[in-house]
Amino acid sequence: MNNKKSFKIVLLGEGRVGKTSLTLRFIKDVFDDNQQSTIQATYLQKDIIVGNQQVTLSVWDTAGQERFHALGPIYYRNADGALLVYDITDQDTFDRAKTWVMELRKVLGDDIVITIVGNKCDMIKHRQVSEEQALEYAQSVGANHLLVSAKANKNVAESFLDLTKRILEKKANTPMGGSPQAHRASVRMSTRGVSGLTIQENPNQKPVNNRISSRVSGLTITDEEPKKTDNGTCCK
Amino acid sequence: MPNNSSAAATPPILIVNDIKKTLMMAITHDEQQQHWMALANYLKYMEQISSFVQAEMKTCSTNQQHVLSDQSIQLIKYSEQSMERIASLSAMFNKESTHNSINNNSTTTSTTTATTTTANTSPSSSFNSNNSKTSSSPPSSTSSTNNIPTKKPPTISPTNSGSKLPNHSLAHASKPLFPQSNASTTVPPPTTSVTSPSSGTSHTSPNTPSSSGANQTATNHTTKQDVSKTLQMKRKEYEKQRLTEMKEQMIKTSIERARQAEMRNNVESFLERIQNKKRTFRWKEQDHWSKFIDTYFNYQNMDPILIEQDRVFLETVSKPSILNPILSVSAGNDMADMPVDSITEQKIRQHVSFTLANPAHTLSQICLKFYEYFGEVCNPSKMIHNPDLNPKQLISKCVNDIQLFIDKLSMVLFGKYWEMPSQNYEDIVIDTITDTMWGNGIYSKLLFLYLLVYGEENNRMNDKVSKCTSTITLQALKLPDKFTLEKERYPFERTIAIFKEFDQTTSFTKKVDFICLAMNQVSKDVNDYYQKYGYEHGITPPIIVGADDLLPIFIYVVAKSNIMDLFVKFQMMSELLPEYAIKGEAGYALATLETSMNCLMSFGNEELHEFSTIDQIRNELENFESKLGDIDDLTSVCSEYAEDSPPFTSQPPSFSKSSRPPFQQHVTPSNDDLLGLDDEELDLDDI
Repeated sequence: MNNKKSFKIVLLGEGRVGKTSLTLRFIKDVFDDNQQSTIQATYLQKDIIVGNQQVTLSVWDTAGQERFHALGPIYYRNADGALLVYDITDQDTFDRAKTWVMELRKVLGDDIVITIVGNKCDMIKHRQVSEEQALEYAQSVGANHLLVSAKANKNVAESFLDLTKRILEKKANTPMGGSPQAHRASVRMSTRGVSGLTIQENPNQKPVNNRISSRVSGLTITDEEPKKTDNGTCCK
Repeated sequence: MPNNSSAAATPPILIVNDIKKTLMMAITHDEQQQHWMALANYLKYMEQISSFVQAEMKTCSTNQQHVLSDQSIQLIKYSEQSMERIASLSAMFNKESTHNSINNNSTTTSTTTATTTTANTSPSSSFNSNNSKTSSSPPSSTSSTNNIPTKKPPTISPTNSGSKLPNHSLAHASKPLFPQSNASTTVPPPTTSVTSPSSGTSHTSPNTPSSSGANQTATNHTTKQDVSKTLQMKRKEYEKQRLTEMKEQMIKTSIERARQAEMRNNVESFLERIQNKKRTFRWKEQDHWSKFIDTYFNYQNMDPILIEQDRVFLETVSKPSILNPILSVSAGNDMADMPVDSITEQKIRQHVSFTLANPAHTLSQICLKFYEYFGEVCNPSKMIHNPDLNPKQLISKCVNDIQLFIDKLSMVLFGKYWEMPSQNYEDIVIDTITDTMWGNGIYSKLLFLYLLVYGEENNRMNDKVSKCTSTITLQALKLPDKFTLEKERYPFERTIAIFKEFDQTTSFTKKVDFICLAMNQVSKDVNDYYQKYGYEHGITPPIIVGADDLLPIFIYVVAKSNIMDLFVKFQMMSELLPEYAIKGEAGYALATLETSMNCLMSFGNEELHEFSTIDQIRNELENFESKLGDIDDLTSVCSEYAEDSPPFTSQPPSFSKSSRPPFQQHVTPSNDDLLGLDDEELDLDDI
């Protein structure tokens, strides 16, 4: 088991597309139903295992209203991944998702991993955004696409796990010290409590548990494996 | 002095025999009480020998060789030495017995008081007189020895001598043994009957009235025996107690020595372990702060007790055992992510706070050095008088210094010296260090710098918040009706109260905690409201508060809190938030606060005016409704009055129900118009 990693995932999308519902659906089994009244569903955290890697996901919900759009960067800065949510029954929400993607790419470049998800796939009859259209767009911007349903608990965990897996792959392929801030953070995290990391005299020899240089190969989802209970009525 | 004269008449051989007897008794009887009594008797014998021999020598001519002169001279010398020795021992015993008798029961005293009619009989006086005679014996003894035959004591029988000498000695012995009070001084010595075979004749003491009866003598004798037994028992108890105390003291001493030896060993091994770690530890870059910490952080010169405290603390915290934290972390040991329970957290915080408050501890000293350094760097008078100084650069330098100092200190603490089980433990230690530093002047100095740099923005923020605080409403922020909590006079009051507490603390971490708490309180307030009024709205909790709803509510909370200098305080917090916390809940809370502040700042005069308009309309509506309520009440009163008073059936038109339409016709349309206007103008999408 490798050293635990912590990723920040931000949920973006137009208001009322179901971002909070998706987050709750993903995290729900962590909490008791009876304690839901104390849930602040805006920031939630969950530990998962991907392959042999322990990961803590910090899920940041955001306000999707247009009037708060300009303040989005405050939330998505330092994010490792973004889950862009649109409502398949509302074409406008998909168009808004496109603007989010453009903004993310513009501000953060390729540093952020994006997964686009079309929510409410259980309402296939009212579909306004076709899967092909969405898939094509996602590929064009280097993102993955999934149809999900928070209500029917469809592909919710898969979307988060897909995002996590791709973040891990990206981190594994990124040379150490991409940005000064990240470098400083990694140095600090690696030296606190485990001072032996800095003992090594050979600069070419990489630290044992350096989180940036950790190799995560052959990723397989060992936890939170979604149940294959597709009833064939949606997401197809 | 009849005693002396009689003693002087006692044959020396008999006296020597008595001495031998007494000494034998002292030897054979192991009891210390008797030993003391024997010694006291011995003292008396010696006095009498002394006086006898002196008297004898004076009667002889200087050339005449007396038969016992050599022996007498030796006896005199010996008696003088013995007297000194015994007197000193008696004085010691006198003190102890005084202390004992004070603490003992009063029955002995009362008994003796009752039985001794000759309470003032003069053992003490006779003792004193004897003492004085001993020191200046020649005159009195000379006078008394005139009647004493030189060769042989003619009249005094051995029994007499035995009866008199012990009796006399009794009076002497009673003084040093029981001198506490009059009553106790009159008590004859407990060992009289033991040491003196003829103690039954003790009442023949010349100072005792000869008229005392046989009954009284017998009672006195019995009382004396009882008292002597009681005192012996007390004495034994006292001696046992002393022995027990001595044993305990010895045990304590040995334990303390063993503990100190163990502590020395532990400290030595701890320091050796640290030294080994220090040898393998290398700073990657010998920068300023590494040198600073290396210079001032020195465990070797610390008090061993403090080192031992640290060692014990670390061993307690790191249980079950974390001998090799590096291996355990790299192996993905569960200890690495072990959560810290609240008791342990409290213990860690207490230990670190205590350490930092102790000027003898090296950690406290190094922090003090940092305070000194920071005070020099952030000296306001220097900055004011130095226009070339760039406050922004100074801020970044100060923030950098604080972060680097804490980073390096934590590296030293956890890397070189301390061994904590997991990062959670380290975070607690760092938080406590940061809190302590923050409360020691760092906060105020840094705030001053931020005010210098961000003064203009801060003033604008203050101005905007103060304008919004009285006018902003949840409705104006376009919240869904579900979250406006209409029936609450002051919605989200508790959230606002918690948020205001953020301004009451100087601790950076506590400030962030209060913001997180306020954020979480929002959903609690909503759910509490629907616990109370849910049946009226047809909504039952739980109500989930998402970000779409949280943000407008938080804008409202920030505006209503009206915290002064919120802008600079936020800037400070955001810059000092540790890297590891940026992606956590603290980071989210600060992002929400930042967004809320940005929204408030973006409110132009039009929006503020709209808030005012809405507020005004709301107030007018409330007034109008209350007036309508009054009118209803008046109407009902009038109608009742009219029903009760048939002769006056004509109702005043102004109070009748039919008079309400004109009010409604007059007010309602304008009200609707205003609300319609609000819907159009209160579009905040342009923010």
